[in-house]
Amino acid sequence: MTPESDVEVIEIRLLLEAIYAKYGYDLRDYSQTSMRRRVLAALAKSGLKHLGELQHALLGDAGFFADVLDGLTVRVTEMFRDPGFYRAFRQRVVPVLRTYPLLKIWHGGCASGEEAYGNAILLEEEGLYDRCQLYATDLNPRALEQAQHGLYPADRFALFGENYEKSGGKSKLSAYYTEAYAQVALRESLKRHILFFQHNLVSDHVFGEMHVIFCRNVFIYFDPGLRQRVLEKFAQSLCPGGFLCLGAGERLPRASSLPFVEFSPEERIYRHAG
Amino acid sequence: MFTTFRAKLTAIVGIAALAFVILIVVSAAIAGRVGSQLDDIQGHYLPKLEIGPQLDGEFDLLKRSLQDAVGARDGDALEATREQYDALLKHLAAAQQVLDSGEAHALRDALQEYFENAYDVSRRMIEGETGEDLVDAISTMQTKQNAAAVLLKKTTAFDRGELTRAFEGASQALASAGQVRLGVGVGCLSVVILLSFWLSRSVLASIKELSLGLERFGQGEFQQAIPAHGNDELAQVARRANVMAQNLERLKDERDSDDWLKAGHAGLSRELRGELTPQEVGTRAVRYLARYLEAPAGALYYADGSRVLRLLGEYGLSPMDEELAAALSFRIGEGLVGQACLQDELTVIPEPPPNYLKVRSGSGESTPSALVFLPIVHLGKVTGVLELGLFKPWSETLAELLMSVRETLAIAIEVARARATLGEMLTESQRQATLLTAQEEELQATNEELHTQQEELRQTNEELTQQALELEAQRQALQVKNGELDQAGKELKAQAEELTKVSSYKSQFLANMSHELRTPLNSMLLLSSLLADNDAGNLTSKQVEFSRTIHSAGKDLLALINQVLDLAKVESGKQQLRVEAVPLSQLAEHAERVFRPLANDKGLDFKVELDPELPANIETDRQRVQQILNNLLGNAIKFTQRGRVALQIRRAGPGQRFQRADLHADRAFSIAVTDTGVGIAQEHQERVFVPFEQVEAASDRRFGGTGLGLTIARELAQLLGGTLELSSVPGQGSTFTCHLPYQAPAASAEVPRAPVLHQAPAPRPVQSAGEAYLLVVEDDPVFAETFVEVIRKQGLPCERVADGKSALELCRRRPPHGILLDVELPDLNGWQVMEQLRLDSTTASIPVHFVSAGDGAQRALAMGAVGYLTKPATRQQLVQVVDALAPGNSEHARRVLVVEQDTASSDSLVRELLAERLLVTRVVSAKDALLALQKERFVCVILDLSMPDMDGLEFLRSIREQSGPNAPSIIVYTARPLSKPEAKSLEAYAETVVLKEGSSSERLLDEVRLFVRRLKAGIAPRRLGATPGLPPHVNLGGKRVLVVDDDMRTVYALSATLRAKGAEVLVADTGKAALSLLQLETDVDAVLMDIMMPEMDGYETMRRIRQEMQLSSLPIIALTAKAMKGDRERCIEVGASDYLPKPVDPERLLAMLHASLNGGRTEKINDS
Repeated sequence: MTPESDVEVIEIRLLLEAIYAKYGYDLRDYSQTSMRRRVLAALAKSGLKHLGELQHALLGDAGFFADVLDGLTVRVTEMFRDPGFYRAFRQRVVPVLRTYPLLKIWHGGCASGEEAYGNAILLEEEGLYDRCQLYATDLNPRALEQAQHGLYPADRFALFGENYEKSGGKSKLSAYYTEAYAQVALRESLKRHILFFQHNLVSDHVFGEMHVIFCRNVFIYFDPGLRQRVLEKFAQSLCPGGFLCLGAGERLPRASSLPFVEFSPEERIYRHAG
Repeated sequence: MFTTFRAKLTAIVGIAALAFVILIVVSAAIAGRVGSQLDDIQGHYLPKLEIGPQLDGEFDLLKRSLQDAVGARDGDALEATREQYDALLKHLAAAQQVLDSGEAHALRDALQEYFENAYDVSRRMIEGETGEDLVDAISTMQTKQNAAAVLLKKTTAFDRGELTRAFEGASQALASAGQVRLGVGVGCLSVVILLSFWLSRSVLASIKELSLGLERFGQGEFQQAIPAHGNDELAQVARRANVMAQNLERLKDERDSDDWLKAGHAGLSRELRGELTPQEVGTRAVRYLARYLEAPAGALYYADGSRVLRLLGEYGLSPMDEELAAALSFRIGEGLVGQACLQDELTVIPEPPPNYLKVRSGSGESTPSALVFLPIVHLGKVTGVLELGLFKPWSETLAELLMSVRETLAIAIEVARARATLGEMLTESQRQATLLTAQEEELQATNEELHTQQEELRQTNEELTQQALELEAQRQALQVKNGELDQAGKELKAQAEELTKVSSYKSQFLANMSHELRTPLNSMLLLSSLLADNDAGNLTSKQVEFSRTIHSAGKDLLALINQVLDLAKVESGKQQLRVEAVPLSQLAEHAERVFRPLANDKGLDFKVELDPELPANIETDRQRVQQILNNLLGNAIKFTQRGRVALQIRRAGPGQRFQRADLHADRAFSIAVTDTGVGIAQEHQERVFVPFEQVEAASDRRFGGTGLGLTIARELAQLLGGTLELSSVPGQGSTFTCHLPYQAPAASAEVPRAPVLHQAPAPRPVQSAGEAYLLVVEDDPVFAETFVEVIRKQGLPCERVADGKSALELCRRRPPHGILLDVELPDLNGWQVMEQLRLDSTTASIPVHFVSAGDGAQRALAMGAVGYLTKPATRQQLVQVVDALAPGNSEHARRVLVVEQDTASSDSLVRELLAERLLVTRVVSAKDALLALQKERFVCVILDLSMPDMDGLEFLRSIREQSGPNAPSIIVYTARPLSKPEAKSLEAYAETVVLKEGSSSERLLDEVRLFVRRLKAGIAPRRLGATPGLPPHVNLGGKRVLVVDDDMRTVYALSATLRAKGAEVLVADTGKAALSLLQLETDVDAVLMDIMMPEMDGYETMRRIRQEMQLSSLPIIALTAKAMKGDRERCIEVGASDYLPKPVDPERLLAMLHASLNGGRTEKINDS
């Protein structure tokens, strides 16, 4: 490692420490490589020259911090991403979920909420939605705000519609939204059982016993230690036999003491072993 | 003459000036005439006009003066009249020139006469004369006076006619002068106007021609020139305009051809736009150029890197198939096309050979008038040729166009070629990228894997280092032995090799042999059977008998050969298993069907037993099991002369030892065949399994047989994952027991062999060895000793203490698996010990069994004890108690109550529970269920909510109330539709709820298994509302606490904690519910508020409580999972008195509540 990048590593660490100390957002255990990329991207966007200046600016200006946080955290989600997963979810998980009178589902790291709404649609179609309470949490308040509004750029819905159909959707995705001015407004009724809430997977605790936890494509940004910690939280929160759904690129650490068993490993669906 | 407009204009102006002068002269002449006439009037008539009255007046004055003088008789005055007279004459003389001279003279004379007479008369009168003379004189004088007056009048009288005539003459002169002037003026004007008209006409005509001409030019018609007559300025302009038009025409022509070129060029560019393949470029280019040049045919040849020109596109050529088109290629320099390629210039062949190129259309054929070959140049190199057949005459413009497009064309082709190449490369790179992504993912996974492995390795490394040290010591010791072993090993190896060789020879031999033997044997069997039939009837009965013997002996021989082969197969591991579900009852039936007749024949008692507790099916190879069974039963019947043969299929007894380590008592069953035959002496027992060995073979040949059956049976048992054992007492009989697992190993080729028969028994599996021990808390040494002995006998470790304090101390240090607790102890009594145990989370879930001489069973069970034993107790009772506490064995921990009306669905459930070795009690009604719960302790209740006699929810509530936190786990399994509030309260009361919907039976079994697994693993089932470790000093007696949380589990746990401390608990599951509840219930002492709730979150609820309801002093403790910086502040900001992170620590909660309720609230806030 060159001395320069050495310095950079230290500066990034200091920056994350500073953010934690000032605002309480704990990004310190995020995967180093991706965090480095995003910090440098934020620096470039800010127009400042050095990480030191960025740090100074962040500490002094909460609004600026909110901007930067937006870039440091992940905000990309998709509706029905990986249709194969949703097909498996419909075919294999939903029959089990039918046996619960009340269902609590947690979307950890919901970003701008597309996935949570997608799930609401799925559950609605399966006739389960009125038994459900979805908790969609993220640490980024801006993303949550967007999620709460349920307004999205219309251009992405072509892809979502495709995903939806491939995932075994029973109707048309367009039945769940109204499109105008290149924006899509999701049907208000979809929001009736979703609670969007700011929650930090890293530092906050679990808040209830869940039957399903979605945490897809979030772990890839965490380092293994943090992954383990968050997985432990999920284990704590899931009821025995509850489902944990991870993203396509993510898998549980092979040798671990976590109480999860494979349910549909190719779709990254695991179950709490009890 | 006047050629120019300037001259013409000058002439006109000159003429006009001349006319003007003439006019002036004429006017002047006329004016002169008129003037003289007027002068005449002025000089002659005007003085006359004045003199007449003057003379008249003077004459009158003279008359009056004379008269006056007469009148006055004044002589002097008369004399004075003379003067007047002279003046009159003088005036008359002055006017003489005005007056007619004759007349003037006459007048003078008249006047003179008058005055002479008058004067004379007057004097005489003055002198007084009278008489006739005088009168005559007077009349003369009057005559004279009248004559003078008449003459005066006549002389001075204005001659009107004369004056009129004079004026008439003057006006006549004036009129004639005007006429002359008019005539002259009109004449001049006419001349000027005529001249001007002529001039303007000629100018206008020219201008019109000019403007028409210019308009034509403007419209681009340059052919007709503007006519230029004469040499005037307009003609010059016209001539210039014509020159200009010629120039313009030339320019237009140039521009037109330029436009044509450009349009052609642009059109080609447009045509070649887009992502095209080289062929498309070729075809489009040729087609376009041919159409543009109106050429009927064309072709484009291109050399892509090679020296061969290939057809890239064509137009109007005779239709050809693609193959031909592809073959249409020229080497550079070959043919016209090839030749064209050698130069950089256009090649034009004005008259192509008649049959060179024919253009065909629907109506006919024609040869183009000219052929053009355009070499296409790219980067200075000729890379292709465009050939066009033309009908149009060849022109420079065509050449120019072709030359100008060739670069475009070359570039387009090159670009298309490059694109095609690029496209291929892109596809390739995409393929590689996908490959790469996949590899990357693999790599990443491997990486992560490696990372964890690395960590593990590090740890393992350290352990290994430790072990290495120990090993080093051992190694040295071993080294000595190694030398010896080496030698032995070498010998063994040599022997083994020999054996392998022999063995393979044997197998080979056997295979050959069997084949060699079977063929003749077959003939023998066939022939002997034919002989025995004696169809011909030519054999004696003796001979027939012999034939039968031969046939029967042959059959025996065949059986032997088959068995030998079987054994060889099994031994060489070639036997394959076909594992399937085999109903055990079928095995029993098979034995019954096949062997009962045999046994009956021999007069033996035959009995088949099948243990009902066995699972219905096992997974194994039916044929092999039957083979074993056949062997054992066949042998038993064969070797038993009298008595009985029994087959028992049963579960392996608990604690059963097996010769194989992989057999487990709970997953194995046994097939035992017992006979009352001769029995086998201990020393011979192993030999029966050796091939070709028979007990007392030499001495007793009665029984015949091959001696292979048992060998094969044992080998098969091994193959199926089991063992075959023998126990026998000579003279009494033998029992062959085959232990088999429920699940045969999956068709493995390599079956672990057990060459050494006397294996050490597998260690009995003990849950977390060393940890699991039982604690006896008993001060009576004798009783304690008895317990210890019983426990040790059960094979469990055990500790013993004599007082409560040391018991607690030991429990905290090393929690035992179970406690036998005496109530009467020297320091703390048993109840106190129990209470302390329950308060500490590490010991709270340890099962406790009370032992006491007193009566306290009710109390003990209420405290959560497993059981209560009253002293004195029998040894049997002690064993039961120990059994109940033993790990995985505790009886209470295996008792399950199933409350279900639908017997069909409960049957399968009960079967499953039994298979899990649980003790099942089944009831239908709530009443029975409650009764059962009062009588016995159950670890779990599986409950259908639809009960005939009680509402399921009500029932649940009463169980909870009856047993408190020590109530059994409840799994609700119901088809009853649940409302949301019902579901919510179920969440609080039941461990889990399974709706009969979807994959409910699987899930129920999952839940049951999960539950059992936890039991067996010694993990206490998740108890709802377990409340370990509450601070004893807190007392919430009489306080009303509102718990607001949508998670009923949390609500239940909190309620249990609070109730345990005497508080009354109100529950609201949403913020709204909390608000309305607070409106109804005024005496709420404190609120525990969850933050994350649907509909109205905790922040909002607290804000409303504080602001809208004005409950400013009500302590509210916010409960939240959020632990970030600022979350606490936010809670306090909206009105929370304090803040507690989830998961809630009961101790902290109680401490906080205590502080809040006792006025510590403000202090707390300040604290934050």
